[in-house]
Amino acid sequence: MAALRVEKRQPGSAGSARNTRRSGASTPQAAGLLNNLRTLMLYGLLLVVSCITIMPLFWALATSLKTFKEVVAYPPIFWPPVPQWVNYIPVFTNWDFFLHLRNTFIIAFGGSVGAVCSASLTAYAFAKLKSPVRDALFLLVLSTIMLPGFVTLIPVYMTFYKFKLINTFGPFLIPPWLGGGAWSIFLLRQFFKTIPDDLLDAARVDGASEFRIFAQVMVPLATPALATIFLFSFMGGWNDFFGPYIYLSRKAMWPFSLALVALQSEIAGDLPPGVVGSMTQNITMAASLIIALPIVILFFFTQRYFVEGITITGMKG
Amino acid sequence: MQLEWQRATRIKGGVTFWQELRSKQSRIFFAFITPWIIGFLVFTAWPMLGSLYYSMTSYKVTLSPEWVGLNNYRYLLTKDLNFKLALTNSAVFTVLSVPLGITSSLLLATLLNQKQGIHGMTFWRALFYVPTILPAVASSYMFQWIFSYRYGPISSIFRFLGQAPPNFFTTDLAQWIIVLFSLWHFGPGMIIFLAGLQGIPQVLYEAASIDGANRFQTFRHITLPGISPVIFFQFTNGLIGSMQMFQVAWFMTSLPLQRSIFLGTLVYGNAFGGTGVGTAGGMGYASAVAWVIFAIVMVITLLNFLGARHWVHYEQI
Repeated sequence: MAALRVEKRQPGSAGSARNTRRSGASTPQAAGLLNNLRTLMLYGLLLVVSCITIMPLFWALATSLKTFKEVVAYPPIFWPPVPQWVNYIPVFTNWDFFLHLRNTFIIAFGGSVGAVCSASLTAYAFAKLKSPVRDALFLLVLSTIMLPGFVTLIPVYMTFYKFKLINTFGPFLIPPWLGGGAWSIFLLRQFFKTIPDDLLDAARVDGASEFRIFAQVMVPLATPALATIFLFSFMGGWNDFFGPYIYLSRKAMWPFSLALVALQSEIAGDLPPGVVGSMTQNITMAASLIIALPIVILFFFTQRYFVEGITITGMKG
Repeated sequence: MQLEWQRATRIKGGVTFWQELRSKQSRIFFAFITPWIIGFLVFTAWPMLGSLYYSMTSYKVTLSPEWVGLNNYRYLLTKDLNFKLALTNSAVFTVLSVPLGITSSLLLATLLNQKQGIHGMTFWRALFYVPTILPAVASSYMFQWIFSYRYGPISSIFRFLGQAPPNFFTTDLAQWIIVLFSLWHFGPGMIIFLAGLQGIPQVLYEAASIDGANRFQTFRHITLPGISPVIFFQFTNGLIGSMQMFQVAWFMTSLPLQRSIFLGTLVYGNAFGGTGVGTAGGMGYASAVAWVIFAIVMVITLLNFLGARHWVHYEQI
């Protein structure tokens, strides 16, 4: 009884009673405090890193809500006293917003559907069908991952040029349908390989054709991997700048990425007198945020697939 | 039918290569990968040969190529000052960004991999990944804007501390801005390392703690060998990526010209014009630059693979 009482009184500070009760000595108390300190430091570090990742986004948001004067105020204003949401209006009115949205969507969506369809066909063959040249060909697929894009750039451009596909969506929609990219093939093959052969053999014994097995057995099982491929190529298409920059000179074909670069000069015509240069940053930032928003939202809802996709590629080494 | 398939796949002995190649499943294999084969021939194999040929010609888009032998290469390697500048800038960028990128993403992965205390892991992971998913055009605008000499928050912090802010874009700091921008995209690297760390068997750590190993020893002798394949993968990918880097340099319009010429921008500038890098050398000259980049990347990758034998431990995972 007495021992218990002493033990109960011993912890001077509140909050660490739970730790003390376990063994009764003073070292766990110190260890508990140390642990709390460690946890605190961990979260502190995480917060600092988050600040670094979010800082440019935050500054873009703050800038997009400033008046022309506040943008170039000196010293800079951290957050505008009266947020100017009207800055977002020119993005929709002075800019051909919906035209660029349509173009971006065609490039991103058309390309990703193609990549999913053709990469899954190819990957299925490499994972589950037997041919004496299979492994050699797969090595060829892998070696194209390392190929610098520059080497093929010019002849590919000339091919599209000769087929009169410059200023069409052809360069964005045709290549994904023909293979879907080495990376996608590799990722899907890794996934297909995890599906047991017994399942396929059972279907074969039932007389199913290889295509039916692919479409009705493999594809439903591989939905998460297919979603990963779709999301990655959708994001790639949405954010792509150089493809459109090279192949699309007609403004009516421009996606957001290209149109953003031209925005600055476009809004210039509509500005109050005396407003130039850096002052229009608020509208550029508003537009930047608007075109990033769909991708950020999509990512937050589907991040599981992104993490899986990246992990599969990395672990192969 | 069934029997034929079994014979082709199971009874290997006595079946020649050609018989196997013409077996039913092999034919189905080829049917499945036909789109990829067409894609490979049209967008990889043929363009490779094409650019090798173009690199020995003088070629402007509108005129047909004219054979000049090795003149492009001779000029490139001996006379072209822009090439020297681009090579230096790309090499400096690679040397700075690859090791720093690996270190920072490994540290952050370790931070997230703490056994106790971290709540909301998916949230932090998503947050750290955000810079990677932003459209590069938009995020590089945001990035430049926070480093703006007059109006940026970084300059304000300097002034708040009573220091004169440096002008990031006109001094040698400019190359650090690009490095920082690439480090800012630590998300994928961090996720790959996270998976690698989680793949190291817990037993090893327990054994080490029984043997009385301290933290550093544990990291040096268990963690580091355990994730060495991941480090190797990141290293190889990082090298290939950063030697070809051009996006960042292209978008960072505030950079001085001397600092914004990279191997990648040199190819684009010569092929399509518009970098301000002297006169455009045309498609032929650009192809020669591309092949030189290709050769450099290949040599480094090869050395990398040879060196890997000494420090990459595959059996540990």
